[in-house]
Amino acid sequence: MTQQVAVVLAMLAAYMAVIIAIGVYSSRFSRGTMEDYHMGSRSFKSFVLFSAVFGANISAVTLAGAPGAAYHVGWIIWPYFATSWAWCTPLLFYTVGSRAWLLGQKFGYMTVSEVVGNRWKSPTLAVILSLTLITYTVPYLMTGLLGAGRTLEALTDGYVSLNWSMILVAASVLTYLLLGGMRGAAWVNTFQTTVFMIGSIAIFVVIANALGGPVEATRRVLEESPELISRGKMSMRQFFSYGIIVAFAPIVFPQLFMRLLTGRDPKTLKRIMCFYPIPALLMMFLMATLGMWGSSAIGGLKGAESDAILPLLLTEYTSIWMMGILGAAAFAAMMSTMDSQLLSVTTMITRDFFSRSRLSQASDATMVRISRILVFVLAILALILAVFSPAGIMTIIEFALGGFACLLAPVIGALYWRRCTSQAAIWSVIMSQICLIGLETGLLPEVLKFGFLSGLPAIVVSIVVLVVVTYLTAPPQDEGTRAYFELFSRAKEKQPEEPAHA
Amino acid sequence: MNAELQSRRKKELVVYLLAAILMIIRVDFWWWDQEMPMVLFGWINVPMLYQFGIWVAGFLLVVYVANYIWTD
Repeated sequence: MTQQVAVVLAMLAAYMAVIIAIGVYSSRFSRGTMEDYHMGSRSFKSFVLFSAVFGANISAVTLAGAPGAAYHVGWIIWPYFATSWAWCTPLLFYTVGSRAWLLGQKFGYMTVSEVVGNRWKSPTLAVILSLTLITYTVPYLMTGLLGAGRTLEALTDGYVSLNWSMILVAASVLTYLLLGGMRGAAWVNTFQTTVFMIGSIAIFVVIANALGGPVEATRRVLEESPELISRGKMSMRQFFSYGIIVAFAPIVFPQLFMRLLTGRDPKTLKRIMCFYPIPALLMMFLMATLGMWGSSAIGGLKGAESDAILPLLLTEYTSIWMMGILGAAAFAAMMSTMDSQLLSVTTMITRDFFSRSRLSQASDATMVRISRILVFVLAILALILAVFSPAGIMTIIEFALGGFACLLAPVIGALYWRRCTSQAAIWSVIMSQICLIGLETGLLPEVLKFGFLSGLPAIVVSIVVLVVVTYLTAPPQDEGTRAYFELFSRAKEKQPEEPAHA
Repeated sequence: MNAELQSRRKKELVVYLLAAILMIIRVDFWWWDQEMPMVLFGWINVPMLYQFGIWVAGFLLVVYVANYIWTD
């Protein structure tokens, strides 16, 4: 073992020890209930909630996918995300989050499927939504393992193989998640968000300096690959369609949606809404710029190999100790998303499937035990899938985000459109997913994409089907619709509302 | 529906309209695939500044919604 490998492993071990200690400490505050394990008793204040929400959103995409893509495509990768997602997602915190939070407070809902399915008291819709969300969350979860694995493999110069790197990461996340649940994850995320924010700025400064400063680094890119500056490698249609997809998708992420419901009050949500766009822009700008500079500093990386550009730059241009510290920052970002994804999928399975079975009679303690087993099983499943995945992080993400983005139309329909029907929501989900998967797999002709990413035509299909089927079916007369819109009306008129689930 | 609610609805509509416009004009096709001079600090060009401007406009919309539309 070289000195570099020993130091990197020691630094990462120290980092893991800190986050596991936080997880262990948070378990002391556990109330042993489902509400506490999955939602932290809905008591998070602004900073913890911001860290939990932002940490759930900043993932391997930012620390590995974005620099990896910028390596091949150029600086346009930061606006690819930041000039739509960074501000559209917070706007949707208002559009979707404000009403979903009210429903969570009143009825005790935890998942997207509960909020949407219960609008029409439709178990079919809830199950279809849950299955769709789980289907897209698992590959997303896989990207976290792949990103963290490739980072550790590169930092240790291949001493720790990709597969062992992913196993180590999965084991660390599992430890604090099994102990602390949502509270443990949120507290760890607060630490992780702080680490990766400061770490990312430090990585940028250190590498920019090592490359001779931003002017010199950019000049070299201009000389060797001018198309990375002129944006010749990104089509305008792809840029436009991804803007829509990446703006619509995150609010439907189960992990982000759930965390919005854990806010103590609307003031908390408003604070995080205003702060969110700033670090979102900063992180994307720093990471994509580094990735672009990396193309001239470390040439010859093909395809998904460029996902490791950040650790490769650290290995090449920083001291051994700095590598360890900054490697931990990269880990922090990737793990903070994985923990929330694991927890959210578990919540969906327990709430949307088990609650409809004989297990609905089980005690909270039993359900929490089952949740812990599920967290473990899902982590293993994601690990197995990651081991056999040949694709780059951005390829997996573009597909998964398209799937999530198609679900926004039925969510908006449930929260804002009284005339909207459950059949319309069901067919909107089914047809948009058929469209997306058909276009991605080539079962539907390429020409139907009109040069856009597959997610955009699928979003259009989800909206059109929602509207058409709504007007082809009878207006809803159910209790859920009445209860939802009465609650929204009261909230607008600021009348106090007693929680129904207390 | 009272006057305050109607006014809030109008503000919401304007915000969503502006958001849609931003999403369209963020594709600066007039500069796309062209080599542009670095005008700021020697490493930032005009399209980069333009994209930053889109982010600023979006950020202002978010702040406006949080302070003038979303009531507690």
